[in-house]
Amino acid sequence: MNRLSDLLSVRNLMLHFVTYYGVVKALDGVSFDVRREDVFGLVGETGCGKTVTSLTILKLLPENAMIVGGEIIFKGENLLDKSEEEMRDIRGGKISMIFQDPSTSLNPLFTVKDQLVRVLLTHQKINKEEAYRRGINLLRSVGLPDPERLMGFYPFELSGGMQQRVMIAIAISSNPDLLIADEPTSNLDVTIQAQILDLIKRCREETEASVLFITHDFGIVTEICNRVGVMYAGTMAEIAPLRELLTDPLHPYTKGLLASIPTPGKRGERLHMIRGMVPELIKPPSGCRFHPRCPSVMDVCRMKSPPTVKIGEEHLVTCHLYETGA
Amino acid sequence: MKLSKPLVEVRNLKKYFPVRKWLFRVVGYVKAVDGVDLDVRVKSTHGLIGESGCGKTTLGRTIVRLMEPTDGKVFFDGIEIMGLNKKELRELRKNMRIVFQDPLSSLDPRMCVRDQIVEGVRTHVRASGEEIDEEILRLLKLVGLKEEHMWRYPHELSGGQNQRVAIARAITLNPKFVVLDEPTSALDVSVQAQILELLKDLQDKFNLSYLFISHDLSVVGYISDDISVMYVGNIVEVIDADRIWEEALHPYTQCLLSAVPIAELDVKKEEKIELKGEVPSPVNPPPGCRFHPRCPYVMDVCKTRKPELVEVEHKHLVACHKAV
Repeated sequence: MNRLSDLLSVRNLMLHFVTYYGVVKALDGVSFDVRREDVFGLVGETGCGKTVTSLTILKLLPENAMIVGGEIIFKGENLLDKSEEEMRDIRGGKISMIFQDPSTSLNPLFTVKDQLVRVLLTHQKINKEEAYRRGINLLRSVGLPDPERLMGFYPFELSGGMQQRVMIAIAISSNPDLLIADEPTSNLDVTIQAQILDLIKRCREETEASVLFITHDFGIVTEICNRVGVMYAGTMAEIAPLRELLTDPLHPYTKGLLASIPTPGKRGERLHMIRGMVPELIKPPSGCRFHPRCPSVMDVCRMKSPPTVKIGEEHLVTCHLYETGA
Repeated sequence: MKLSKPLVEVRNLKKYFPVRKWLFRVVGYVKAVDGVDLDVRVKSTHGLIGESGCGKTTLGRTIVRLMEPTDGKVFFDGIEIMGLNKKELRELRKNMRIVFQDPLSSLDPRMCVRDQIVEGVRTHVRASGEEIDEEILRLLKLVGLKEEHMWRYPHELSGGQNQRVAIARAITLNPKFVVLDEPTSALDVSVQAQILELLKDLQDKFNLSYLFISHDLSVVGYISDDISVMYVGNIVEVIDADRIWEEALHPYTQCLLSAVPIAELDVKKEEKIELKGEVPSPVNPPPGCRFHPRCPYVMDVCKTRKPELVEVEHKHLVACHKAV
């Protein structure tokens, strides 16, 4: 049932981590689609599984991870069936990733030139001179001044914002179809963050790539995304177009989360508080994982996992409240 | 007029860190805080906002004298605290507390919750074990923790719970003034909301005054009464929090406001002002106005003369040649 417009379609993904303390059920049936030219935002709090989802797409999981079920369809092919060799072509080629902390994802022992040129040589059939020339152009296109000089710099000689620009240059070097950005601005100051967000927007328009944007900040989502998925404790609570999600959130968790964000409009009002805490995923709550904290909990929530219901054109919500006949 | 008088008055405070070469030779200074004036009114929250490296944390720590200032004065309730000796300072510390950014590194990993809090109480008052236990239980309840948490260690608690412990520790002995140094930036939004509400409740209950340091304008704008904007060691604008979104005058404040992503649709935002370049180094700050290399409205005078903080309206101070 894949529509052609879907570039990436994650279906019912289940992932477990085997740890000393028990099996952590990190993802429990996560489904979403990233369409062509989408900027899809994956939002959620710490530990809800948003980073793990992105790592699963690239199959960059640690050894104790087990994919228990589901499929990841990228351009009509299931990535979970791919061999490690095939994945290596896809990573950095068709799908590339911008990680959260550029100071740890760039190799401190190599210069910008080494790291940028290597990616270009790996994924494109060009010689070294050509790769260097393209590298210079890439650095210029991400707004770095004096690229010839920068090529010889080591990561520690660059500021956080510049490092992230280099990361973006590397990520877009092979014209990927999908760019995964995992909290690319969370270590940066607001003014630098605004620059980087603008750059990602511009790169998306120029390369016509889709973006899977992972963040915990609804402000950034509002700025950059057109569709949003809200995750909670390894499940997808709600997926909707940005405007619809902000004006008419359906899932109680999304409602609570939005009401708890301090905004200038809420001065003097009390912020909403979601009671309780995020559950341990070794022993997740039965039924709906949000039920112990949900203000509109019903009996059925404790027993049965909620179904995903489609409301309107493109609004999906995973909650018993919206079940037909409920 | 309901203008309450300031509880904390900071006057021309400076904190320079020497930059050394070969161990001893001082080759320059990091001017982390360079001549700051700031008032925190009784029972109000003064927000201090700025980007990383602008000196906001150093300012917070120097005000409670966790760091010795290079120059300047701080008056607490009329007393000049920079001239106090150790004993007098310790007495005053009952009234001035601080909550740090990362609770996991500001709490001792080898002490249970009870001991973390007891240490503060023991330093200042003599009490029997039972009295102390009773007091700690009262504090834990105030910050929304339970008796069972008393014997837990920091690694057994979540980030939000740890921050509650740090707040409980700060409000022992009923202080008047608490410096909150990015108290919520390590926390998730839903937990952040809980902590912000807790801080507001405690303020109402005990008439606390806060200096709320943060880089997050939406949080500062939500919780503060007054806001000071800091840029490379200087305060560039002081303004009422109600008016900051509409009436901010300093170009840097305007840039900050336009850069903050807000989770509301159709927010009336001014035309986005792209801020070029990066924050200058405080070792060699630019001459004149420190913002001039990045300022979109830079004039010749900005490059040579440093602007003073001037009151342009009632309770609204700006340090900018263009705005005045």
